[in-house]
This record gives sequence, C-alpha cells and structure tokens, in this order.
Amino acid sequence: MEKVIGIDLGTTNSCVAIVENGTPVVIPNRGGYKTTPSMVAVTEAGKRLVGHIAKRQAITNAENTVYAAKRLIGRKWNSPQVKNAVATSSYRIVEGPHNDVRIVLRDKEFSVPEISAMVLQEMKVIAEDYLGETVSKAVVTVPAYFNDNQRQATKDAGEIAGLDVIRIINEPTAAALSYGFGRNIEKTVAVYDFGGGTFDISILEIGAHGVFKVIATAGDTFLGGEDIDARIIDWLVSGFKEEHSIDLRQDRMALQRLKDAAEKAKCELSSVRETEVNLPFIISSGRNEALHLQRTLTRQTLEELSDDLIERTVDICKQTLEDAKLGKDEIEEVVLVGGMTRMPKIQQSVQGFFEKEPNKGVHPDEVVALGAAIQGAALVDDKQEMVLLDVTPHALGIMTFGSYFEELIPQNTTVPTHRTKIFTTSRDNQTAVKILVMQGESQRAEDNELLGEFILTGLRRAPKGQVEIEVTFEINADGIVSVRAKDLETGLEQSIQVTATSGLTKDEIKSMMDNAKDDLVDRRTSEEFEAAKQEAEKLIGEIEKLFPQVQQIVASSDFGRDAIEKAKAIVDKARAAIEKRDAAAVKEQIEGLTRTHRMFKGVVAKT
Amino acid sequence: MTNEPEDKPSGGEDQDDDSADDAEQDRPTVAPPFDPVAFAQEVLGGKPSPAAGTPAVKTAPGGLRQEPAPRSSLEGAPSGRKTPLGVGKVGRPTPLGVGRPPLPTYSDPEELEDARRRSQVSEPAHGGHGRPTPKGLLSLANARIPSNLPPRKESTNTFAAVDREWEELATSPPPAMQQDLIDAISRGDSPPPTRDAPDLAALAAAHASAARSVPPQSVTPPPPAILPPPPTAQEMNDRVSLGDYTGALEIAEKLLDVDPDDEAIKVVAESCRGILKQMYTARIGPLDRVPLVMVARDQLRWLSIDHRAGFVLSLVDGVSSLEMILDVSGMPELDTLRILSELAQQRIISFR
Repeated sequence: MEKVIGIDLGTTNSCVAIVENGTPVVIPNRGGYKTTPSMVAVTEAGKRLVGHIAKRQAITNAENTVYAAKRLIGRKWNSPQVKNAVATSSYRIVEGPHNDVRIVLRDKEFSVPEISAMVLQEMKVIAEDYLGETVSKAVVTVPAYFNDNQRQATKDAGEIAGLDVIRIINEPTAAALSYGFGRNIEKTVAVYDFGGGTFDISILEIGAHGVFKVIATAGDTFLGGEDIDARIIDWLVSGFKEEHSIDLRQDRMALQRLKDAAEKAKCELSSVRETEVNLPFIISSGRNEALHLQRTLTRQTLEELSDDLIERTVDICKQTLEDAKLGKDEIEEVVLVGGMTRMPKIQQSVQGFFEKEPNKGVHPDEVVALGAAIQGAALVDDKQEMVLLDVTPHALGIMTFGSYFEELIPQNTTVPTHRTKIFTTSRDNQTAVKILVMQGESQRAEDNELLGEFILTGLRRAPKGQVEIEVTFEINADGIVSVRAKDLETGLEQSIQVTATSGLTKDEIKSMMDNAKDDLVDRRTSEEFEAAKQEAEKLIGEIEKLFPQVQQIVASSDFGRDAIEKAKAIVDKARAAIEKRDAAAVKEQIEGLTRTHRMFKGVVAKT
Repeated sequence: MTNEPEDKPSGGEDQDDDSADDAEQDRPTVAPPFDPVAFAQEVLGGKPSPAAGTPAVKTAPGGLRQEPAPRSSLEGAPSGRKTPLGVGKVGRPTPLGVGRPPLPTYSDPEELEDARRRSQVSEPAHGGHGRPTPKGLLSLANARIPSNLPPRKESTNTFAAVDREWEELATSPPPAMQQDLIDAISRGDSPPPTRDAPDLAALAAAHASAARSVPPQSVTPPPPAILPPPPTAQEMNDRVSLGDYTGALEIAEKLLDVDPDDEAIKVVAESCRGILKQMYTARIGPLDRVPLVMVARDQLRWLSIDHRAGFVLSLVDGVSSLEMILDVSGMPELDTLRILSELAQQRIISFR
C-alpha cells in the first residue's frame, strides 16, 4: 500500500507525519526537530536555504528570506492582505503576470506556490529520508477560512514539489481528527490554535460516520508567538538602552541574536519560573569595547508583557461563539493547538473563558500533521473506517440587488451536490442580468470572494419581478463549480464553469516543477558526494597513517615497493575525484581504498 | 630565503646598524615579487608554509596579540632599541610586565594578514611626538602618509582619560576578581577585558600609547590636518606584490566605489578575495567540519573578541558545519571565514 504523508503547512512552522502500523507518528527532520520553520532564503552565493538554517539568518539576510508565505498564497495582488504584506514585509513583493503575487529573492522572481513548494519539498525529503523510499502522495492542511483559490494554490505548491496532494483538509478538522482518533465520539469541540504567526479558533461538531463540521471559525492572521517574542525583544532592547545608551535594533547581528534568545526564553518560561538571557559580545561600544547583555526574565514579566495579546485571543473566542450561536456550556471540549498553548498563562485564560480545563491529550505542535496523516492513511486504505467527507469549505452563491449575498450552497455541504433557486428582475424593462458568482459567509457581497461572472441577455421587457431566472449551482466530485442561469420564459440560458486558480498557468507550474526537480536532483547528488567524500577521506587518512609502517616492512621486496606505488596511485585518484566533486568516481575509488586499507592493515598486523 | 638589501622593509630605522643587520639576518623577510599563484598552490597543496615552524600567535593580556619573538629576542624590548619599550610614561614602569613586542617582518602572507589585523585593532593613534616607528612591511603603506601630521587633540583627551582611569585603578584596592586577573597576567595567561574587571593590559598599552602621543609643550597651534591622498591602483598593485591581499582588497573596493566598471580593478579584487578565501580555508580545513566552542559558556565573556566574532561564535552550536555557519552568518563570506579562522587560531573553537 502506498504511503501517504500528512503535512501541516504552517505559517511559521511545518510538520510532517505518517501512519505506521496503525499509529500516526511525526517524522523528525535531520536536526531531530519535529517541526521545521516555513522559511526560505537565498544566500549571497545564490544558495537556497529552507527551514532552520533559513530561520537562523532571517534577520541578517532579511531582504532575501521569505517567512509567512502562507499569508500570501492564492491571493490577488490587489487584495488588502497583499497590500499589508507589501508594506510590512522585509522581502520584496511584486505583481505577477496574472494579477498574482511574486516574491523577489536576489533579483529572481518566485511565485508564492513556488516558495511554499520549497517548504513542502523539504517535508517530502524529511519523510523520504525517514522511510527510505520515495513519497509521492500527501494530505495537506490549510486554515478553515482558506477559499478555493488559496486551496488550489496550496495544491499547486504540492505539485511543484513533486507531491500529489490527494486531499486538502482544514487544520481544525485535522486537529479534531487526531483528537478523536481511535475513539468514537460525538462532541462539539473548540479548537484553540495559537501558533507562531497566526491565531485561529474553530468550533466543530464531530458527528458519527466521520462527519467533522466546522460551525464557525475566526482568527487573526497577524497574531502569534512572534508577537510575544517581539515584546521580549523590546524589553531586552530598552533595558540595554537604559544601561548603555545603545539601541541594539540598529545592529542586525545583535537583533538576530536577540530574536533567537527571546524565542528560547519564551519557550523555557513555559516550564520554569525564570530564565537568564545571556548574550556575550552583543555589540561594541563607540570605544570599541565589547558589551554583553545579561538579564533575567521571569514568567511573571513575560505574562505582563504579553497580557494584551492573550486577551485579544479571548475576545476572538467570544466573538466566534456568538457567531456560532453557542453558549460556553455547549462546548464540550477545548483542544489546544500550536506551540504557544504551552504557555501556562494562555492555558489559564482559555480555561477561564470556556470554564473548563482544556484538553492536553494532544501534542500542540504535532496534532494537525497527525490528523492529516490519519486522513491520508484512511484515503488509501479501504479498511479504515474514519473518512472525512469532502465538503465545501465556504458557502457559494450570487450577488443580488442591493449588494446582498444570496447563498445557494451552504458551507460544509458534502460534494458532489447541486442546488437551484429562482430569482426575478429588479428593475422595470430589464433585458439582461449579471450573475456574480461568490464564495463566503458574509451577507454583504463585497466581503466575499468573487469567483466569476457572466451576463444573461435577451430577457423580455416587463415590470420588475415578473421575469423569472433560474440559477443552478453544481459541484462535481472534482470540486469544479458550474453555475447556470436560465430564463424560464424563453429557455435561454448562460453558464460559467468556475475553476479555482492559484494564479499560475499550467505551463508555469510545469516549468516550476522541472526546476524543483532539478534542485532536488542537485541536492541529492551533493549529499551523495558528501557522504562518499567523507568515507573516502577517512580511508585516505587511515591509509596515510599506515604508509610509513608498511613502507618499512615491505621496503626490501620489489613486490612491496610496487604495492606501495599502487596504493599511492589509488589515493591520488581518490583525491582527484574529490577535487572534481565527482560522486560516482569517488564511490569507485572507495572500493580500491578499502582494499588498500585492508591490505595495509594485514601487512602491519602480520609483523 | 635570502634577503637582498633593497628588499628589506624599512623596519629598523632606530636600531644600531650592526645590531640591525644581525636582527635582519634573523628575521624572515618577504622578497618581492611575490608569486600569489605559487603561494595559493602551496597553501592548497598542504605543503608546510615557511612559517610552519613559527610558534603560534599568543594572546597577550588584554587581547593585544603578541607576535612571538624572532628566535633570540627577549621578552620586552628587543636589543639595539634606543627607546626603552614597555615604559608607559617617563618615570613610570611598565605595568604588569607588558612589553612592547619586537618589530618583526613577515615572509608568510598569513602572518602578514595577522599583523595587519593586529595593527588595525591595537595600533594606537600616532600623535605628533616624533614619527611613528615604521613597522615591517606595514611601514610601506604608512610611508605614504605625511610624516609631519599635527598632533591630534583627542590624544590629550585619551591620555587624560586613561590617566584618570589608571589613577583610579591604582588608588582603589583591587577586588578579588581583579587580583585573579593580575595574577593571571603575571603568569602570562590571557584573561580578557570585561566591564567589571577593566582590562589592565590594554589599559597599560593605551596609557603607553597615549604617553607617546602627548604633544610637546612647545607645539602650540596645530596646523590644519592634511588628509591622506586617495589610494591608487599602483598602491593596490604594490600591496598585491607584497602579499598584503587584505590591504589590496580594501584599496580595490575603494577604487571600485569611485569607478565600479573598472574591469582591471575588479579582477584584482576578485583574485584577492579568492586568495584570502583560500588562506582562511586552509587554516580552518574542509567546510564540512563542525566547529565546537572550547570555552565554557560562563567563561565566554572573558574572551577578547569583538561583537562580530561574538555573533559568529553564537552560531557555533556543535551541530552546524562551517559551511552552514557561512550560510547563516549574513556577513560577506570572506569576513566570516576570517573570523572563524581567528577563533580557531585563538583556540576558542575547535573542530570535530
């Protein structure tokens, strides 16, 4: 059975998991970490960095480091979120050829799915290294509020990374799936997800037969653990300024160290009451004197620094419950997701608001990826019982007179499906109607996402309200939405097929896929070479150590001298292969080196 | 290596002729024209460099790095010198045995690079009190700077400030930690400067330099400052032929600021970068090696390094390879390599 990985493609961190022998497990990366920063950078030398290594240079190479690409994926250039990102991001964001968004790194433009593909490819490589086999199928999670374009863009990112994204599922659904794994539960749960860069709260109904219904979801895409780090940095910077009259923010190297130290201190304070921030040689004074930063941060100070941020999450929870028309007592379980929920103050606030202790039975960093892996395994295994139904993430409808949104297919409707509704003209003698196809939950049309539009003409001239137009929405099994408008009197009809688009053409995706594949091949070749080189160098070192002894032993015989010459030639050849960075040639020489080493050891051992 | 008289750097002008000759014979010198390609091959080929037998550079108290004495030289002032070195101010003994090192010349470009860096870090500002003593090859670069520079006003201030600090230090009883420091310095250890325990050796050196830079009382109104002439391509080429690639690169970069399209300068700059990179890489070894910090975490602050080196040191986590550190430092690769090689040389880092 083919293995399917589950990927939590997060705003700040990503995680990959798989179901092994019926148990979902998170796969650690090479550094042993179970999450990998969703960051991509290009160095001065043009080298691409992904994950922890990109994060470590995020401030010193800020212009060429992309973080939080998820906030931009599938968005149009003129959207407010993109405008905001253009104004606040350290990297350069430009308009793409299809009203999409492009990111410039070292003078090269990358599409947002391409950037996300680099992170996904990293997750794929982590899984492949762990499993020792190629992985090609994945289930990827996205926030519940993602629209079709954003979901399609995420799918495209998977395709570019060489992954067939067999299903996109909502993050809170994945968390709930993981929470309910192995238990037959029917509950209303709140998923409180406070991650590195975003906060989301979702209310779900877990029903029988694998129905996970998102009743309400809300959040703040610019509120996360990084904001708390920023508060710690402010505290450290102002303390240092008071003491030395030097603003550490002016020095990127100092700021990078502060950022790392702040995050570390924040994590430590979840388990201890105080921690020391010790950064020797943080900066040099005007007199070339190296200055050190050393301060003790207590949990209480941290809580004071982040109090308003935590309060904001509680306000959003309050609003979401109101939207869901649910009382606190109707929430049967609160599931905590995201690294920030380890903070005791957050746990207390959540408990205080929902008036019940949050469930700590799931791992906050891993629960979403585990849910995705469970879903992935269920999709390829017929025996698996729990299968999520494919539902529409948002309501679909059209704009009506007065800029209202008329819903035809409600949110969470199982697909395939179709719905029909009859509308009438809104003006006297109206001969044409414009059908604006939209997606969203707001009653105000402008708050929803426009998917497409078309005009039905040739209507009979009549007083308003007399001409009837039948509008039909249909979603097929592949998620393609068709909208048809029919004049019931004349039978005239017009239709449109709405396909979600990431802003990339098929050719562009193909070209990006090829590039990503080439990069992966280069990376694999380089890794292969490094491994062979290390082995060869080790053997060369050992042979060279034995040379004097062997020379002494065999000096008297011609045969021995000949053997020494041959051994030297093998060592030289291996060195030349290393110099040329030719992995195949190095591997070839390893055989000769191993033989020589064995022979030398034998000669030495006999004497 | 033979020394032709015309090849000698003008390093011994205040030495007696005989002793100078003797000293010169004992010192290795660079014999231009220097062949950078041959040098690079030598470095990359792993052959022992001419300086292979030279003892490692020692860190003197206060972070002033002391060049090992060339063969017969003594601790403190070298023989034949008229001005007694190691004397901070007239009538005041050299504090804590800090002697001015003998003035060596360098045959190994790596040594030259070290010397250059040291001169940038620790060379005190010269005042108008006599000409600054030319130092080996570095004097060639200094020779272009007019020798009649007026005394700098800051020198007096520096002196006064240092003097005050010195006075305070002398009058206040040393805390235990400072006593440890003094003991360590007396033993020849290398305790670093700190805020809590002032760097006595550096202070003494600064004091000495300030004393040298005190303007004579007869000199009253200082003439207007004369700016050094802008560097020229000739000067850059001279540096290259002397093996001073850092200096040549600095000049090349200044020239490129003026004319960024000068291909010839670009080529020189690039080759300097290449050679410097090879030099540093030869010191620290293959880039897949993983460096480790050899100093206990709580002892780090006693090291004598600057904040840039402190930053690079913070990237050494025992897991990241040199290559990774180069990638994440965010500094020009050459700078990071230089810092890493210096950290390795000072034995602050080691390799796995």
